[in-house]
Amino acid sequence: MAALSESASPEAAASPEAVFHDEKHASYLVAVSKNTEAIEFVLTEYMRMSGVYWGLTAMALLGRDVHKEMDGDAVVAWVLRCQHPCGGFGGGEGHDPHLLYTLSALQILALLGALDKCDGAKAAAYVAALQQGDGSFHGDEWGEVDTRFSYCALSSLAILGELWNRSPPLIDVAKAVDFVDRCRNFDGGYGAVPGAESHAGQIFCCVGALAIAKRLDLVDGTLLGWWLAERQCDSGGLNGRPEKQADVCYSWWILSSLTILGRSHWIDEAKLAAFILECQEGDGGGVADRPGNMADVFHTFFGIGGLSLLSWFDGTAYAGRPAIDPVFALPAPLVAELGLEASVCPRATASLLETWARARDEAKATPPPSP
Amino acid sequence: MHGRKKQTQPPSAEAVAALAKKAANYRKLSAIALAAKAAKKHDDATFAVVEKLLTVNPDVHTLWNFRKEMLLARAGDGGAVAVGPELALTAACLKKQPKSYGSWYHRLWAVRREPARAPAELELCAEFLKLDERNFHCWNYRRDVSRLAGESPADVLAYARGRLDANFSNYSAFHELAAHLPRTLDRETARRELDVARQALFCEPDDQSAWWYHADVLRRCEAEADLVDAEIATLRELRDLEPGSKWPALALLRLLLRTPRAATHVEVARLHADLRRIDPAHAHMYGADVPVI
Repeated sequence: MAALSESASPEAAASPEAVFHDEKHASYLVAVSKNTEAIEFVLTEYMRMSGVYWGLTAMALLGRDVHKEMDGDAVVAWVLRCQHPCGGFGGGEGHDPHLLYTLSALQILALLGALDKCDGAKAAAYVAALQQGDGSFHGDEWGEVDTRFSYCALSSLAILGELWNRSPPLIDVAKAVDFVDRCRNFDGGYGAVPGAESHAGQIFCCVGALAIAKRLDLVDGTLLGWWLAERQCDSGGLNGRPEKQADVCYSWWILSSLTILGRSHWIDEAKLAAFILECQEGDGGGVADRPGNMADVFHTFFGIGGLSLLSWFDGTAYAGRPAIDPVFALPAPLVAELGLEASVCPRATASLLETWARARDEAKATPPPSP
Repeated sequence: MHGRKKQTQPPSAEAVAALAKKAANYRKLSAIALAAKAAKKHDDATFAVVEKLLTVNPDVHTLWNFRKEMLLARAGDGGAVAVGPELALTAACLKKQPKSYGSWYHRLWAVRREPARAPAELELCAEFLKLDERNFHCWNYRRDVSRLAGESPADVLAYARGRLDANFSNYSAFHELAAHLPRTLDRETARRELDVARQALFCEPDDQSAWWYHADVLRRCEAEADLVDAEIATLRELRDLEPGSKWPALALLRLLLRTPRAATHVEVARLHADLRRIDPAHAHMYGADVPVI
């Protein structure tokens, strides 16, 4: 549902929550990483690697010295202890290796300038061995298939510098692309496997994977851009699927996808920024999934990442902070330093309606995907 | 970590103590389980600890992996894993956490070892999709067990249509219908599917679920000129009934832009202006200029 009655762009300054709680968020991110006795910490031990990645990246986007404030040396030592002899990384010490945590681990090492400290060749071999004949990736040795893992594999190999220029290549990129393309749906979106419903988180993974593979030509940018833009709710926040509630995490999944497709201006960006700001915890710092809820590190990262993609900081006292890269979900200067490449579409100049009017003949020539 | 309300009062000392005890206990059992995994201990006590932890926290993939390792080791070479207990455990975990990736995948792993169980799994899916008709984990699992059970496409479609009969605001079910549509629709199929969408659109024009299906069906039958003309007439009628609604205006405009013979500049300009007024959040998506027909 789009806005029926609300005004287009509420003045950010008019809202009591338009303040960005910069210091509080930094304190919160440091505190949650140290509160190891809390039940939330204990129950999420198995995915700590992703939690640490979210916390560190959020701190980097706040312009902080991540190494110093987040105890970089200890984090690197811990990440290295989580690498298994097979090359993959577990989500925590003693936990099994998985593609999800292998990507998080490599992202952390990249953030801390310590990629050369892990066994990169083994990590790359681990990732490559999980590719299947149809181009998909297993998440680990137990065989689950999901397009999230396709993104993790391509991004991991890119960060390791092992995606291109290897002879013979470590993985079949064309087949990986084919599998993602087979997950495209009637609405232009993507699901976890062929036949599965479109979901914004999955769309980020698929569009991101295709961006890394430089095959965005396979995306129906008009249809998917429209579908993504219609995720904006009356509140200004974005939902992940039609008729679901808005949630701060989609500020990342959707806005990054729209940015890659050159269509982030198809939503009301000011209204989204106001929604994210409303989801801040004013007392203890951090960002929650929606206003009035408890903050957590996941939504804190996606909220700050969303504001970064919106260039919201540029107009404030917080200008000059690193922007986030919409494909690799790392600070843009780091992505440049690592030489990571991906395609990103230029900002679309034609509106949705103009594209419809122009494309009627092409549309007939290229029919929608078939089952 | 979704949907937890901020506490207005600080928790009581008892509540804090109870949580601390729970955390300490979980941590202790988790350490025992991970140490046993490293030592490849597969005895009954370890099996029980892992099961206990999974019922508390069904998202831990390492523990599901360990359980599979123990089941395979205990079954021995050529022995069969007893699937029944896996179904019972995952059912309990999924009741607690219906979006647990690890639980759904463990269940699929178990059922694949005994595909004769697949038809009964369709019943379980029906139960879960009654509780949450949009649970995509369950829809995805249903597709897997549907294949194992040998359901025909007609059976799958009948199930999805049944979900829409119960509640037409179900995008997951519309997705299932769309996934089965051929590239181009014959006249009869197109008419039938437009009827399905129309029932929902006229009841609740602001619910976008059916509009996406409607747009998709129309894209697949654009060659049928009389159908398209009839749909334009229908949308004009709906727009008159719901002048403040965005979706009828957008669907009509889309169809007119793709069917210039039926469009006039005046009507296109009015729809464009109405959309920008009704839905200013998407002003840039609509564009400042009236599209040229």
